[in-house]
Amino acid sequence: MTRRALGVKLAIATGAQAQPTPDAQQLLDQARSSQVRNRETMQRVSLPLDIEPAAVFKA
Amino acid sequence: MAISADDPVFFATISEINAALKQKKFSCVELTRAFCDRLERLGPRYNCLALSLREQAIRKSKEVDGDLKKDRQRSPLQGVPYAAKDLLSFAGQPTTWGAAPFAAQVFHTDAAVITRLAKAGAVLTGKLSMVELAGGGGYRSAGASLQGPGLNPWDRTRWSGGSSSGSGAAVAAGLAPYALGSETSGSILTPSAFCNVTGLRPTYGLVSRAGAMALSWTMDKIGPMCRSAEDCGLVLQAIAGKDSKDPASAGKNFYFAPQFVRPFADMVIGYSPADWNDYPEPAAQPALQQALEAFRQLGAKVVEAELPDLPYSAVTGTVISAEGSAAFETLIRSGQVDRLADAKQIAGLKAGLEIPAADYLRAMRIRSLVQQAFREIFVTVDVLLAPARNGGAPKAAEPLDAPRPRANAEPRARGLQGLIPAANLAGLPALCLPCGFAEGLPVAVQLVSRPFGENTLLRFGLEYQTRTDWHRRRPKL
Repeated sequence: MTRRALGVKLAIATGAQAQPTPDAQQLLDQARSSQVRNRETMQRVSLPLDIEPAAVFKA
Repeated sequence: MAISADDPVFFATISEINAALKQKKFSCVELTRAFCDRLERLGPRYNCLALSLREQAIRKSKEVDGDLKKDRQRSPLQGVPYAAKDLLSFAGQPTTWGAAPFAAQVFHTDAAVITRLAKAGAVLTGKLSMVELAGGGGYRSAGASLQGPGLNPWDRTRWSGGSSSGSGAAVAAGLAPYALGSETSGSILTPSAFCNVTGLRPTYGLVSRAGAMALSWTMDKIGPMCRSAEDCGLVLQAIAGKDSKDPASAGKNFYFAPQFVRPFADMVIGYSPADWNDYPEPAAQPALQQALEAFRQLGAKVVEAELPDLPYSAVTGTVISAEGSAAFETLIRSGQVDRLADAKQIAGLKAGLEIPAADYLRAMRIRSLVQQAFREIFVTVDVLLAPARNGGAPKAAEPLDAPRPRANAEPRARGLQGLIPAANLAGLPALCLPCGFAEGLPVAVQLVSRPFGENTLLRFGLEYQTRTDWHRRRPKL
């Protein structure tokens, strides 16, 4: 078995992640940008310190 | 008696089917066989069948026939077939969550809602397709499902909605009298609206999620998708209730008793003119305006209402992304996530693992403000009324995030836009009511009430559906 074939088998066996394709990398960058936009949008909300997270949420 | 392929029973309500069984118009076995045949024959046409459970259904139907013979009445659902979103476990059979990496997944217990319905005498005929992992990573294509794009029985070039895609299509096409769906943010309301189905999103914690896929522990809800508001009430009564296996269980039962809700003359409907005049697609406006007028005629006071300016979508996105990626961390880190169908979803789930705790906590703090805002609104208003979606179903072959036309390019007010994410953040119940058609595609309104206000919603739904017949319309298959 070649080193490359062994590597592929090991990757499958361990479930190691392959390098993303350029398209996948672009989508990942877009997802990260979306998170940044969400953060910036949420940071515009004034939150007094007594507003606690709805940690254990009940309706 | 054999049931023919064009028998009206395929579009009958639960009460009608239950009455026919009691009158011995057909046996439960005959009825079950007829629905299994139809589900297996037409389900693939809409990519809505995940798994037929014919053998188990026939077995159950024989048991029901035995009970009916001995006059053992279990519930209004007794003997009535149904199907369930493939996010709910059924012991010994695959539960795929609509996703290739879980195609062979088998659980050894039934989901709590399936157990409850079995006790009520309901007959599960199959599992229905869904958007993979309920779309937690965000998805761009209707094809984001193990069964392929959910196709709409009203027009097969259109999407059936998501993430309860199969549930919407199956009920619309008469493949099941009702179905179970689930909603984290829009997944019952959207396919119900697109498929002309009456759907109920229960209050968070009212229905046990034990045995259901977890996407967002703080937002997931399971609910019925039916032919009428009455059917939603009957199913909800059977599936709601305390469950120690669901940590979020509110410990409450639900008794379908809309007759005890205050008269309409004592109630207040909140709405915003902008939702009806500015935001809808032009083709959907006549049906929506007609629905608004019908609600005005009910006798309730109608007042203007508006949601406060809070970032509902950003908060929902952050909560679902953070919780969803945590729930699927093993899938993501193993690389198996790359086997999902939708590339945007794969990227979204991976990126979700990177959300800082500070962002998640900020989202959850804003969520407290959202809850508070609704508490204030519901001091003066009993229900909020808005279009369920701003138009009909999008084309299945086109990107789902493509911009849609609006009646007014520059809306004059915020209105109740964002009601779906906002009400989901606050755990509020909602009812989707079909209200007409736009260029042949179903259009619907949504009603939202305070926590555990399901009977109020259903009271409005029942009355609206006695005055209109949109929910009774069937697609040409």
